[in-house]
Amino acid sequence: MQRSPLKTVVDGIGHAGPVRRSPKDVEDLALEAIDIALADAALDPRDVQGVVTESTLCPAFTPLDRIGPAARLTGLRRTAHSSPVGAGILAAIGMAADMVERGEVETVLTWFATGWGSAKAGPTEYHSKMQAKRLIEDPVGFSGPPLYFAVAAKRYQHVYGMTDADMEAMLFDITSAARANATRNPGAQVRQPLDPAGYAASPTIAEPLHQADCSLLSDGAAALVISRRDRITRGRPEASLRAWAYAVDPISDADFYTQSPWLPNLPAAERSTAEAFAKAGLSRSDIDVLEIYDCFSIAVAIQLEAGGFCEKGGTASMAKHGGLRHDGRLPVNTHGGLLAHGYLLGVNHAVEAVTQLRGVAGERQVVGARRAYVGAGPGRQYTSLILERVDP
Amino acid sequence: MSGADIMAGWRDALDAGELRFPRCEACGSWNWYPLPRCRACGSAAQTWTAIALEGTLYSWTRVHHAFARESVAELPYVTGVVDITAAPGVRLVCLQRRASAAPQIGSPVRLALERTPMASRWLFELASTA
Repeated sequence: MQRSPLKTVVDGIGHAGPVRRSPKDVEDLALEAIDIALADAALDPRDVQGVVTESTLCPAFTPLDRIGPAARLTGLRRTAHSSPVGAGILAAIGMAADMVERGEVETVLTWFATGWGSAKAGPTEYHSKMQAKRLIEDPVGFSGPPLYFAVAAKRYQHVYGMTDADMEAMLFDITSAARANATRNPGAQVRQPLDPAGYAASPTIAEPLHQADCSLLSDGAAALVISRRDRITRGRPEASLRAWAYAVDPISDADFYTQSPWLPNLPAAERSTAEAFAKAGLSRSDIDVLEIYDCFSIAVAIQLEAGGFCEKGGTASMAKHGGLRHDGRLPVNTHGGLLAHGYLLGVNHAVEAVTQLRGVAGERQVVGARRAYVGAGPGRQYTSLILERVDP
Repeated sequence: MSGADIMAGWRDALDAGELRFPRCEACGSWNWYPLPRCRACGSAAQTWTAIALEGTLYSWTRVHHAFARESVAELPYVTGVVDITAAPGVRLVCLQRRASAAPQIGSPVRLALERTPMASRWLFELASTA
């Protein structure tokens, strides 16, 4: 079913950071991003009627009972949590839009903030809390997210009959495109381009992944305001949520990276993307810019293929010769992504999509971008957003 | 399968020197990692069942930078994911035995238990060199 004609817009965006280490507390970062997003939407905090956030890390680090009063959100009538981590950050935007479309509220705020850049505990700690990982995986040195994606990359290479050199070339093309895009983004954490010599010199973490293939670690936050379009009075282009979809497979987080019968396929990503495009009444070729959860370079390949943006095993040829750069055949992660902009778990990808559709992305602007796809959660769950520019 | 410690059967198996996985008494499915109910039929009746130490290498990586809090092996080391032959759908992560042949996805492997002061753990090596 197609959504009612673009009734909902993301009319406020704000960033704090990302930086490798911030002197500010994670709550301060969230509040800073919220202030900027509300100002961008010309919205008084007391006129925010709803809050929807990611369900696991957000309540742990920036809980609403503290952020609400500190941000002076005195008019809340609805609050909700979505799902964990990357897919949940995007699903919160979709759920917020649904709330607005149902007429429950006119304005919803969402945010995500992380202090994993300077915290001792980070993503590895998050995963090691799962009992099976601690008892079975840690003693054989199978610890930390890079290993999950390293074995996924080796399996991908086997399935598609690639040589070590083929795999290295594909990963380099993906990573160097993110870095090239980030050189044109003043807000990116890493702004040095990556050449083949630099890639070869990047320390190997777990074969075939170099450090350059792995997400940065960051302190930072971003916030977005989702509003009823007809309450907007300004005359600037806005980004509307044309359609979104969430899908989840019946497999636990602890199981996924070793027991998935599907890798390098991602059934949840396939269903979520297909459903979003069906709802939007659009096809992949209608998309001008993609923002994909790039926790590791290989994750971009499996998601582009699951989403139908490249054929299975076809990312290598698509990514050749700068194909994924902002001016390439398939512009991906125009801000630099988690690999070069910062590890904000994908909330930065949503902000970048809005920035591109408003046409204010500066040197990294995809010329004439009218529709953006944002996808996150390369695992048991996945969220797809399709955003469209609406002119004033 | 229930109780406060769903992994007790794993520790018992290591103590006994056996490779055991939870098998559903109702439908015969293997359930790994452990869950309170069978994924296939929903039965709570699952028994840790010993099986042969044979598998096929599903994937692997050579690790050059350790993320674990304690060091488990001298860097670099090879850790792999093994499809267990007698338990369809079950994969076990194993460390590769030192100085054994280069890992090849799809190759038959044999498992062996290693007892270290920190933990007991399963090693794999290519079956042709075992």
